[in-house]
Order: sequence, then structure tokens, then C-alpha cells
Amino acid sequence: MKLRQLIQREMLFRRRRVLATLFAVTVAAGTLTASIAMLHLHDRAAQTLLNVREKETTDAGAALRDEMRKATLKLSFNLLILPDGVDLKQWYIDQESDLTLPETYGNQLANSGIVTVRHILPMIQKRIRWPETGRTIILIGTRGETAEGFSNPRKPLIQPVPEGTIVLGHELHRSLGLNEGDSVQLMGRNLTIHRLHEERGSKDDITAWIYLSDAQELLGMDNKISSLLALECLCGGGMIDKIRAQVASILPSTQVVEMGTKVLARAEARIQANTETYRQLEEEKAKQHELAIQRQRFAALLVPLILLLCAGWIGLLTFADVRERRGEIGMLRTIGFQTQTLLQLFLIKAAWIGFAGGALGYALGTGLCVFRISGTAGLTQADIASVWNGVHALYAIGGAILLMLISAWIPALTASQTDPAEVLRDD
Amino acid sequence: MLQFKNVTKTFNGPQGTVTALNNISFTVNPGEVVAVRGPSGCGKSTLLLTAGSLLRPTTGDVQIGEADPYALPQNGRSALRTETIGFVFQQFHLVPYLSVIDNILLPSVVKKAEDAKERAQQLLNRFGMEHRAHHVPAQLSIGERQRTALARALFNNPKLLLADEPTGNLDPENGEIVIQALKTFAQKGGAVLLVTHDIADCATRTLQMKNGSFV
Repeated sequence: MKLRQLIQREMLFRRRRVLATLFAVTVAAGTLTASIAMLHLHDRAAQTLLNVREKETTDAGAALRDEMRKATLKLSFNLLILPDGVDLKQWYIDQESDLTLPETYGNQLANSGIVTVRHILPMIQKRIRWPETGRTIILIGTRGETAEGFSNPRKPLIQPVPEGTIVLGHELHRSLGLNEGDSVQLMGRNLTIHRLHEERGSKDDITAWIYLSDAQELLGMDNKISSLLALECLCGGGMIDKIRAQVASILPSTQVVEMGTKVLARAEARIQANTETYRQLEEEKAKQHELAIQRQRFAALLVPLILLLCAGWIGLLTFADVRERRGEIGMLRTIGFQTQTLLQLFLIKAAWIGFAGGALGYALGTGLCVFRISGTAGLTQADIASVWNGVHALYAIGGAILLMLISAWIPALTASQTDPAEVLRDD
Repeated sequence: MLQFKNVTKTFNGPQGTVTALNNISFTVNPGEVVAVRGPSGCGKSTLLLTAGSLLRPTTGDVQIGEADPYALPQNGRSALRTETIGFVFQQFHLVPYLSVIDNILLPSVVKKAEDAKERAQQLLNRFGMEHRAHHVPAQLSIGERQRTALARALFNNPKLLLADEPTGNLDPENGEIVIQALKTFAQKGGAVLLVTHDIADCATRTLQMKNGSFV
């Protein structure tokens, strides 16, 4: 007869106690496995969600940066050069001023060789009453860009209004029922409608554009302009002061105003939105991190508590076993069972139950975890399948065996140290 | 085979020191069945446990064959019991979850033998237990249990058989079977130390015990 057979028969004989012990170690292994698997899957789900959001934000940010690059490349910055004495507060209200600049300033700036200013547009801007229609309009006179001074002139950004023609804003031509090619009279001068603008939703809709010299004549402002527009200036936000200084040195008694554009405003809004998204992403990361820590803390409290309870339970069951088998142990000593053989009798049994409980606990714990977490956002089937892991199974089984051996060690030692004489005398 | 020289065994208890064996000296030779008689509490069981190398005497020497069991380490004493001594108890001490044949084979767990099953079968036949080979103790009569215990004690062919009231719970028929088995064991050269409070007809020598001493 072998020790293994002796243990097997004893386990079959006391199967209720064996099942109770098996249950305890299964609960312990299952709790441990499920906790680890749940933490692993939660972390994975959180990470996947964060990765998706991070990618979305990064992609959006990249697209925005690209758009910004194109927009900045195309538009650069627009500068408005006004007479020094213009009160900007009033100018923003009236969109006009009585103060003027010499028309020669356009050429003067173009000939200065200033590289940061690339398109120069001299213009007159006045709010007037259109006597023939009785409407108040903004009249802009422009002659197209000054390009003579540039060594490498760029293609004009703004199409000039030909002499003797007029370009009308949407509200004007719509309300007056005018079409391209029609003739209109402005302050007694016959002008042909060269172009009609689409609706812009701005003051442009009540603006009329004519050739600069026509406007100078009509307004009695020969060789004078209201302002110079410098378009696509190659300057970043930090360079505007330098540009101002340069322009002031070339064009005395002027002031330079940086003009915002809709594109830039939109881009700024989107940058802000992007920044907000990043901030929310960081908040989400912090929240997920906090949740992960809370889950870990909970598991760190729950798992040892359950392990301790199970260990205590197993210890009690083993003690009950030893107590019940006292007479048997005494008899085994009389026939020559040595201390280590008796120790083996209990510890091998504990290891077997630990093995079975570990395997069962792993299967149940992982199965329960998979069942519980299936359908959670951010988890793929591969993620869920990854918890069925051979290494985890080995840990669960190894841990369960260790738990059983530790729990059964003292009772087993007590059994192996049983004094047979005492037992037999008591009987 | 078994020799006690001036053996004393005392126990310290709440009531003070109790002397269970008081300067006992005797010998059990091969071929002898020595019966120790006496009333309950006179020290018979202590004598038997001391003889079985299970209870170290306070003073005096015990010799089993050539060996002084109490000079041996614990594992040495265990090995000595496996090789030399067979025990028979009044309460049988059969393992409840093992069949009759497995109970008889139990000593083979610590002392491997290739012919273990044959020897167990022979003992089954000798004690008329073949038909009960695969029954567990709970399914046996009292007499059958004692016969199983006797077969287990004889499994390793011991030189010394220690029996504590082996017939105490048995009917006359089963009691006779046990007595005959002890006699046969002694006739084949074994030594038997039997403690009982009955008259032991099988004994070649009877020692009367009272208050830890022979009288």
C-alpha cells in the first residue's frame, strides 16, 4: 500500500470536510483571480478609451495645426495704416475719418524695401449718402495694389475695380434690383456695375467700391487717401511692434493697426476647443487613474481579508480533521509511521485540495469576471480572451497550494507531533 | 527479547507525582507468552507502552532484542517498532476508511515489501477473513475487527507482540481464536507480552501487578 492510496481513501471517506475545504480554497483562488482579472480588464478598457480619445484629439489637433499653417501661410497678417491722429475708438464706430494720408505713401512703402509687407492697397473710405437712391452707404475707393516698388511682385490678392465702374455689396444691389452691366449714377457720375458681391453679413453688404481717382474726385480728396491696407504681412504676433516701428520710420505721422480675420478668429476658437479637449482628456486620465487606484485599494483590502478568512477556515477544518483522527494517528505511530510521513499525510492532501481548488477557483473566477465584464466599452474580444492566461492559472494554482500548505501546516505539525502513548492511554 | 531493568515511570499531575511503574524488572524471552494481570490503574498499560518504545521510563533500562529503544532518535524508534513490534489493542484501532485487506497492508506504507499482498492474503486466510477482505471496519463484527487488528500486528513478522486486553471485548469463540493466534506466534519463536485483568490461560508465565509493582 502506498501513502497516496491512504490519502485518497481518507479523502473519499471524509468527503464533506474535503468539499468544505475545497470550497474555501476555491473561494480564495477565485477571489484572487477575479480581482486580478477585473483590475486588468478595467485598466485595459480605460486605457483603450483614453487611447481612442487621445488619438481623436491628436488627429483633430494635427488637422487644426495643418489648417492653421495653411491659413497663416495664405493670409499672414493684415495691417491697416491710418493717419496718426485718427481716434481709433471713433474710427471703429464711423468706419471713416476726416484725416488723410498722401496717396504717395503707397509707393513710398512699396519702394522702401520692407520685406515683411507684401501687398499694399491705398484706399479712401467714407460713409456717404447716395443722393440718387437716398441710401447711406460706405464708399470705398481703391485702385488696386501698389506693386511697382517690389522687386518680385506677388499676384494681387484683391482684384482692382476698373475706372468708371462700381462694385456693389449684396444688400445694395438686392434692394435696388441691380445687375452686373447695369448703369447707375453716383453723385452725378455714370458708373457701370462691374461686379455684385454675395451676402457677407457685414458692412460690406452696404458698401460700394469704385476706382480710387473716381472716389477722390467725387469726394474732393485729390491725391489723398484715408488709409493703406497692407495684406499678407510676414510677421508673427511677436513681430508686430517691429513692423509698427518700421512703418512709422518710412511713413511719418501714421499708426499701424493689426486686423484680425475671421479665419484667425475661427482658428483661435478651435485652438481653444482643442486645448479644452486636451484638458478634458487629462481630466479623464486623472479620473481613470483615480478609479484604478480606488479599485486597487478595494481589492487590496478585500482580497487579503477573504484570503485570511479562507485560511482560518481551512486551518479550523484541518484542526478538526486532526482531532478526529487522533486515535488513528496514535495507531499509525505504533506501527512505525515517522513524523515526516505523518506530516506528508496531511500536507499532500492539502496540496491536492489546493491544486483542485486553485484550478476550480481560476476557472470560476475568470469565468465570472468575463461574464461580468462582457460588453464593457473599450474592451475587445481579444482583451477579454487574454484573461484566460496560462501564467495566471499557474499563479492561481500555486497560490492556492501555498495557502493550503500554510493553513494546514500548524495542524499537520500538531498531528505529526502527537504523542501516541498519550492517545493510547486515553483510549 | 524484552528486558526491563529497574524501570520506574512517574507522572507529574495536579495531584502530585504518580508512580505508574515502580522499579520493575522482568524479561520476556522468545517463545514465551507473559501475561501481566492486575486491576485497572495498576500500571499495566504504562508497562505495555514503555515496552513498545512509546513511553520513555523515568529511570531504568528497557532492552528490545539488542536495542535500547530510548537511546535511539524518534525515527529510529519508529523503525524499531516497524521491524520488531506488533501491537494489538482492546479498541482495535482499525482505520475506518480502509478495507480489511488495506488495514492489514497498512504497515507496508512504511516498510515496502514486494510480497505484501500475498502476505496480507495469507493472514486473511489464516484468520478466516477472506470473505470480508473488502469490507470496512464498520461492516465487521467485533471479533472480525480484532482478528483484522491481529493480522495487521503480525504483518511485518514481528519478534515481539504487545497485546492490551486483546480479548476484552470478544465473545468466547473469537477470544479463543485470538488466544490461539498468540500461542502460535510464541510457538514460532515470538515473544508475547499480554496485559489483562482476566485469567490468561495461554500464558506461559503470569505476573501480578499492583500499584506499579509486581507482587
